[in-house]
Amino acid sequence: MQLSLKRKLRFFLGVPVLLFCLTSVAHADTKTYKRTLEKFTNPDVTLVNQDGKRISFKSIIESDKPVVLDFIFGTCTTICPVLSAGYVNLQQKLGTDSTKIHLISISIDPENDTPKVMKEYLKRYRGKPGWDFLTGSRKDIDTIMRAYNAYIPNKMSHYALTLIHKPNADGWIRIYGIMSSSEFVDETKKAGL
Amino acid sequence: MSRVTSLVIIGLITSLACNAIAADTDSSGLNRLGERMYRDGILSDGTPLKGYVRGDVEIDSTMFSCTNCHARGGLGSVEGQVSSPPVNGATLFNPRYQYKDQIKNSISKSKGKTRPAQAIRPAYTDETLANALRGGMDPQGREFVPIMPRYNLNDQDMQIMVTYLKNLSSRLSPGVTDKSITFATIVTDDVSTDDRQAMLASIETLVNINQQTKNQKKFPQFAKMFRMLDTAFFREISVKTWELKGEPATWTAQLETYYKREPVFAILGGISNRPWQPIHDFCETNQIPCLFPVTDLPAVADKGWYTYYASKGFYQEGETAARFISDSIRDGAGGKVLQIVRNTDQGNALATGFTSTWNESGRGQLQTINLKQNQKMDSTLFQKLLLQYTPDSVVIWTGDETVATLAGLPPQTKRPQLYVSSRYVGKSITSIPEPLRENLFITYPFRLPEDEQSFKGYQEFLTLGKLKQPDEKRIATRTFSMIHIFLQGLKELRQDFYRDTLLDVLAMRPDQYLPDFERYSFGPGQRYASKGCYLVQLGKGATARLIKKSDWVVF
Ligand code: HEC
Repeated sequence: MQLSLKRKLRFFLGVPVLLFCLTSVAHADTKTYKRTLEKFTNPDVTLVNQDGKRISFKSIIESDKPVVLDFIFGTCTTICPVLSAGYVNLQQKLGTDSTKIHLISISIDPENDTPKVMKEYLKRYRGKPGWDFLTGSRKDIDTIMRAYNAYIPNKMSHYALTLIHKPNADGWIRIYGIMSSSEFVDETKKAGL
Repeated sequence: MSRVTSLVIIGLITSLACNAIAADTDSSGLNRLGERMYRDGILSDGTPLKGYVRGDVEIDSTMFSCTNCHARGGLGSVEGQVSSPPVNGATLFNPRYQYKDQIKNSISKSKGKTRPAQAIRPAYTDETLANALRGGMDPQGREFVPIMPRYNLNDQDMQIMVTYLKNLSSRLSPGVTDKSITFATIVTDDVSTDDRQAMLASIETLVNINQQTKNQKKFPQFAKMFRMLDTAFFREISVKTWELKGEPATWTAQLETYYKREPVFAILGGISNRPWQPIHDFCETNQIPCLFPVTDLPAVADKGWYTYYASKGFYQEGETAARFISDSIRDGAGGKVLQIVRNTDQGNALATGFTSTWNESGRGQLQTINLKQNQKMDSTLFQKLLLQYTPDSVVIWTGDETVATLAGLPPQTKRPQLYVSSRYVGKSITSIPEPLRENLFITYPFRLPEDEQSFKGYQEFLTLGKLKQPDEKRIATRTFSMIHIFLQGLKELRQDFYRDTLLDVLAMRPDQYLPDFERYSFGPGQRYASKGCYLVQLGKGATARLIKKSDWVVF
């Protein structure tokens, strides 16, 4: 009892102590992005898309289309809008060919991102066919994040990551940071778009 | 890149030719136009605000606007390594300091001294702010990171935006003075004395702890720190109890009277057995945050900002049952669902959650039977409905009569799957006859009892043994969680006592593991912290164990 009371006290006392540790947060240098080539094993899990349909994740990755993967959530502040603006721009450039490439966003807030929330998100961004937003159990989402070296334990410590897969290639292009529109097009071309 | 430069030039030229906005636009109308631009990305003429991020990525602000990154209250956000700075009037039109300098400055100021610290940027003027929004650079010519968009704003809209930012979080919200912060909590007169005590005891302790830390009596090890912070931070906390009497239709007037007598910064917790809607509406109208009231009948709306609920309560149980059944139908089971609803607040909330979810995503046919006011269900009626509708699943939103109804059914070889709410049926649920248990699924919106062990005793910490009866309704624990989350918010708020900012910073909290619910999780605009509910079955014996049949969140 004594010990647990101490723990509970710390619950509250942690508050003022932390006040002191806060200093202004440094700005990130997002001018460049880091590009690496990496190998991953595509996990075999079942996710749910914006229409409530079950999707075999492995089979959509291992298709004959180039695939782009990012990690977002429906109510995200800074990073998702910018990543999604990149998807929107690419789809606009492709016009009626938007399904030539499969853009996939994986939810990192799966408990809140129900099909309804995801559908509204895509609608707000005017996403066209060819862009799917996928959610699933926490366990399965964790499996995916771990498989792609993209583990984000807390959604507010989110970082910008885009993964690009060329059909039948055994590796991925991993982009850490945010690309300009023309850089994004160049990268997808390298992946066979 | 060249596009960005040309935007800067256009910006400079147009700002030279600045002309005033027609004088007939009154200031609240102007503010509304600014708010729409800031929050919804819509310009004064109704078209979307456009711009560029990351150099050449074109954006339309109806997808995301200032509020996404800088938050509704304007005090900014931090996501991963990207920090969107504060853009409220008080910050923009003053030199900006590092946080630690800002604290030292305000301590010095309270002692009547000035302490020069190096500013990280000078104050903005209307012109330099316009340059920042169009061309992406600060008053000293430093270029912003490419995540901050460069916006196309004509002079008129720029003036609206600049005026909006000037007024945004420019004065501390009501209920806060240099010395004190006043809160309220709400108790309605349908709540029993014991239940009321279970909530109020924790809140009293919060006030006492604040008093003690202020006086540094109890924790000498922190004395030095508190002394330093004292003048800048510590304020008396008081929590008024607003008692609401009589019919819910009269609550609004009572609330208005309390609020007029003494404005409060926020409402902490609160408790009622009636639907929370009137209080929810009062908080929306008066823009008062209300944190985690103890209610299982919250307002369930897409567009509410001021009340943060622990969960959607009964509605969420209904919602989960609909998803679970729909999911099992996908796997091949039959698709005829019969829903029986008792006409009470609880029954109706369960049914609303079930029906609206079913209408969105249900597979199969749903038939709903609404029992008459005061009509209870019995075995005869139930048997009749089964024969009439021959359902594959029956969802039974009836109260404590449910167990007797089911126990009275004649033995049968083939029974439909039965779904009930653990909370609505109540304690008697464990006395369901064993032969029925195989077909019975129960919504259970909490962590399972065996996993809850490690959270035992949390409520005692705050209620300090003042409770006369065990906290079976989870009132003290839910209030404990409210206080825990509220204190985190208060810490994050620093000295920015703006109501919208309190809600903004709470939305950015990481997941919390507290009593009752598996997780409290947050996010901008999210207003129901616990997203889950289990479907369980009963094990064998009189003290039947609950057996999980679903994940915490069912899709
Ligand atoms: C996608 C996120 C995002 C959006 C949307 C956004 N901003 Fe920003 N904003 C930022 C970031 C990040 C910075 C920091 C830039 C830097 O200092 O390098 C910033 C900086 C600013 C600054 C400069 C603050 C200072 O202290 O120098 C102002 C003013 C500003 N934003 C206003 C706005 C307004 C008004 C809108 C909407 C019309 C808006 N921002 C939309 C992310 C965003």
